[in-house]
Amino acid sequence: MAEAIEARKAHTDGPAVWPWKIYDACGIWFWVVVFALVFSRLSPYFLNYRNFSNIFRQASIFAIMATGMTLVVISGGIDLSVGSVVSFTSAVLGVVWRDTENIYLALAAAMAVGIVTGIANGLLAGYCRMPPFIATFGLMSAGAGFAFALTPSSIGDFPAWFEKLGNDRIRILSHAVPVPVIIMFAVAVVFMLFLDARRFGLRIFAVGGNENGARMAGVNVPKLKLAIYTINGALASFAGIILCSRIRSSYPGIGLDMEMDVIASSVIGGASLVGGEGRIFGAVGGAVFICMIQNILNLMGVYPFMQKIVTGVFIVLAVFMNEFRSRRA
Amino acid sequence: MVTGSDEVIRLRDVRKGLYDLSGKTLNRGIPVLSDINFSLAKGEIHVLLGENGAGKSSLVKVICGAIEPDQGKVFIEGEEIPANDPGKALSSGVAIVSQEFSLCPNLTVAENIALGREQIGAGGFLDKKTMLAAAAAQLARLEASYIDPSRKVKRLPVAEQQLVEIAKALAAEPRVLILDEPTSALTDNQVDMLFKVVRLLKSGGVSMIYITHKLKEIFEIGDRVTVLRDGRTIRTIPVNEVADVGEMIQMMIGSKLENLFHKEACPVGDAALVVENLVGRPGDQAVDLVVRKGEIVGLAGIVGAGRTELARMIFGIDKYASGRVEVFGKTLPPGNPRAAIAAGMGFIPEDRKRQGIVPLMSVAENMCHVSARRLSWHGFVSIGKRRKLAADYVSRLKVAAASLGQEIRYLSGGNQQKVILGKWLSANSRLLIFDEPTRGIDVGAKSAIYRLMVDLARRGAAILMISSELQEIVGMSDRVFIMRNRGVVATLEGGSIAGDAILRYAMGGEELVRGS
Amino acid sequence: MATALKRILSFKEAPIVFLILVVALLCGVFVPNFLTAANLVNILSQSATVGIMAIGITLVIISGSGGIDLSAGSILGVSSIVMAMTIIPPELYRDTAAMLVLPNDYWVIFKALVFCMGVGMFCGFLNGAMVAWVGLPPFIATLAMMTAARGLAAYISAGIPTYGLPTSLVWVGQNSLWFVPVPVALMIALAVIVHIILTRTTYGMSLLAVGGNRETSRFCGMNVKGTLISVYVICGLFAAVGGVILSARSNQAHPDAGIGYELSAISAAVLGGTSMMGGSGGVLGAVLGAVFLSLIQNPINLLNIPVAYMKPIMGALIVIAVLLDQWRKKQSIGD
Repeated sequence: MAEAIEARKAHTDGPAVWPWKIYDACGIWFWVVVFALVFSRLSPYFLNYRNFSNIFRQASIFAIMATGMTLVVISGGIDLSVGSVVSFTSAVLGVVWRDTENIYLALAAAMAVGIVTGIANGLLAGYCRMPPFIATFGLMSAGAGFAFALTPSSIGDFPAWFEKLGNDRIRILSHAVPVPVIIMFAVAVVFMLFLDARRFGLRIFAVGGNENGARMAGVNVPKLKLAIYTINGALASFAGIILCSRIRSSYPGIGLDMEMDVIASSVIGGASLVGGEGRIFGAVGGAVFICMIQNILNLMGVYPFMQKIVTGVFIVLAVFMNEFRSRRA
Repeated sequence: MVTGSDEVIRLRDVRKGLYDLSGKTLNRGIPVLSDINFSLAKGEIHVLLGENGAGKSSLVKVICGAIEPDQGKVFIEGEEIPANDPGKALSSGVAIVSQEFSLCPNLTVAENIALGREQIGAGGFLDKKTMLAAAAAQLARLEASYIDPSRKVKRLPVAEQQLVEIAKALAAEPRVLILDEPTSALTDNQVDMLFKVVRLLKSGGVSMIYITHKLKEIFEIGDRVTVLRDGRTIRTIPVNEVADVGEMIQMMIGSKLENLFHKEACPVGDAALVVENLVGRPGDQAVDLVVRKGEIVGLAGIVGAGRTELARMIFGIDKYASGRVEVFGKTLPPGNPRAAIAAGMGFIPEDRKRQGIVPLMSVAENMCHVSARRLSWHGFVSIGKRRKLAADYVSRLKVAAASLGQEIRYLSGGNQQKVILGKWLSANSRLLIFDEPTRGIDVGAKSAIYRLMVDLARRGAAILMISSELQEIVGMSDRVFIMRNRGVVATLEGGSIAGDAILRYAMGGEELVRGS
Repeated sequence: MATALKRILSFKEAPIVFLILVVALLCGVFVPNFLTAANLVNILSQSATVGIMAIGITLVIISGSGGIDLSAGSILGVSSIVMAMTIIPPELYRDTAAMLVLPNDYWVIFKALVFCMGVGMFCGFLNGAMVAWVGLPPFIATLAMMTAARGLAAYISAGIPTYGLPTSLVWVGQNSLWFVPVPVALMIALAVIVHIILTRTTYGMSLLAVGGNRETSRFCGMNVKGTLISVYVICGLFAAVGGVILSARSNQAHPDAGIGYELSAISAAVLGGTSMMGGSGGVLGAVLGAVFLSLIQNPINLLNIPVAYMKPIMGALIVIAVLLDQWRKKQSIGD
């Protein structure tokens, strides 16, 4: 055992010289900047405030979800159900609003979707010790189905103030910043504080790094996992609500395949699927990175189909660069 | 000094069967602990003594709630504690320095020390300054202030990680401190420091359970000693009533030393393994080594001396910078275990669970992993041939298994080891590398393994044996290579093979003066 | 009795067989027209595509260390498009108004099948290379392939489905050998072949060993990376075969064909007793899992229950199946 640790140390301990340190600190944001500069040569419409505020607004939904996903991934888990949660949240929001005309009740019910799903995930993964892939996979199927069972159609006509949530811009320093972007940064900052500056975050890292060691140090691992998955579910619902506000309607298929982009954002942002590593602002950067690539491809008039191929290649590249970083570091 | 009235811990009739990594019992039929009764008095240092696999670590794991006993109860200060709840044991004042790596490699030293009782400051945020200061204070107690509390644990060398583990346990201000082989990775100076702290804690009324393989440490700090063998408590006596080291070894092993090894001289033939100028990483010393047919060659050294690394390079698991490995006259390409196996080499690795067996597969399947191709017809495995071959080796090696189809993870360590050996024998390996062949194996199986090794040598096989157990090296080897700092520092032969000489070379410099 | 139960529980297919029997029994009693030969045969043929994909995915999951193939559904899509485009002349391809009736040119059909499976295997090879050589987590590598292959399918077909395949190809999807539908016969044949490969060949043994313990396999001189790549190639191949069946059954090739199938196939594998931890599992169970998924869909169709309820039921049953499997393992431990 001791020799194994020694051997591991041998190829993890490298010189930490300053260019690498800065590169490590920037993480994916370094590549966001690099590619933004490269892309600006490809299209004259790319590098300007308006376009970037759109990229960020589009990324905000994924980023809010990726914030929760990052907690899950750091703890060594995965949550496939978030896309379905968004769909189901959207359907519940629409149906309750249509049937009661009470937006507050609708919002509460919509939030409850994510929280209940999260609790179920947490119970299965934490207390039943089921592999999270399977547990959340089961709930993923369930959520997507329930959404369509509830209503197969799109529902709109929300109150004006609710629609503003996703569409308004607020002037900050003479720039009009979309509200969802502000919300995204608020959520990211709050959870970054939770992750890096509070006991809760420390324990998530501990569980991801050495679950048994954390247990021996007195961390209640099942309870912690319950909390993590619940938060993740709640954030997914929250993102779903903002998405409904932005598109001014609810639709039960809205979250289809979202979980994949969200997990990809987290991993691109430096989270390791083995657990124990991850950053909130990295995940935000991951979401921005993906949306930025889709944006430039749109601007260049690349076929939507071709966009998928290119996005796939970039996901692999970004993860490979992370792997390379952690292998060297 | 020891009376029943002020006992802090009491174990009553504790039993535990073979268990897996998560502590879940796999097989009640193979007891790891049986009918354990144990008590720890207030302020005493109670030494647990026993061979590898005697059940010492399992016993302390039961106490600190890491594993749940199948039967029996644990009391802390008269109060029964719920099984399998490390948090409860911790809050009752039990802390452990575990033999298993219990730190989180991705966290810093300070975070690891604080984990579970983090210092919370204003607004419920972590008080990182206090955390760092508290960690520094604990490290200072061990005179290990040179360890930076803000470094990540994965970047520390093993000895420093071990000190962090100890500091973490001390930080809990425990009333009962369990030390499971805390000194195996430490230098002598660090050990002295640890003992100073241990004595200080003792005078403060802290009770301690101390597990060690270094017998002289018992006389240095122990009050009482309990000897375990094959999962049973053999005897508990005050240390000052123990006559000498020999008596303790006698109790641990249960039979005379000489009977254990069955060593005999075998006719020595041509060279089976020749290693010339092997350099692992640039800057290492070049290693030269020869093993002849009919020989058992020991490879001694302390943990971290580079023995396993050398063996892995010889076998082709890892690549090397330069040098040459020749097996039965054939030069092997580096980094290719298939070539090594084809040339007749076999490897019985140190970490059985992770490198030796495929836990979910049956005894027969595990037995035939290497010889599968020989047993097959155009890629199809002949189930009949496999059964026949496995049955042959199961009976020849006296493997105790319910059936050939039983999953190997349900077997005891010794029987797993026999299956791994059978795997290589059935593939006609004539040059075998044993890495810690008897680690975690009970005495009976140990003796059987030794008998098999001698038998192999008699029939012309060549054996390279890595071992951290001095008795094993001394008892089994025809020649001994001693490694230090990734190089061979000495070779002993025949009558000159003696425990103290090996230790002297293995430890190097200052230990030589101390004459341990 | 207790030992008989223990013996039954020692089979990893026990929970899925139990679930199939329970659901079939309930349906037989409560659902009219369920227990007819035609309906039962229908259930089986509906399970064929997912069943065949599940065989490949089972091998990938067995290979361990998070082995998974999320791209199988997309590979199905791209390979069936490639097949259709090889058969159908370009000038006719965009002619979506009329159902084409193409002659049975066996050389062209053969070429189409080779291209189709070649594309499947090539995508699988890329997956395997990313996992084994580059060292990417399988989840990410195949996720990227899932996106890319779907994009490729849409790109080469310009997003347009095509109808009308040669009759001999449609025969594969819609006809029966004696009374067994060809897709079912194919699924059973492939399952039996792969089952034999998995349990009776040195390749199968090394796959189980690599999945059960990668380190040990290295020490035993097995070709770990080669084995890993091979399972992804096989999985790609089986996804392509699934694509052939799906196209033949529906007499069309659609760039969106097979969306979400990988998840059904993964469910089928897990329902069939394959452990996500790797190192253990069986393809017969996977096929039974696929049959089960199509079985629970059937009464929903017969009773005109909205399709949407299908997924929640599926999700709940997957969780139940895994809990049952955990319980089964606990029971079958020898004392």
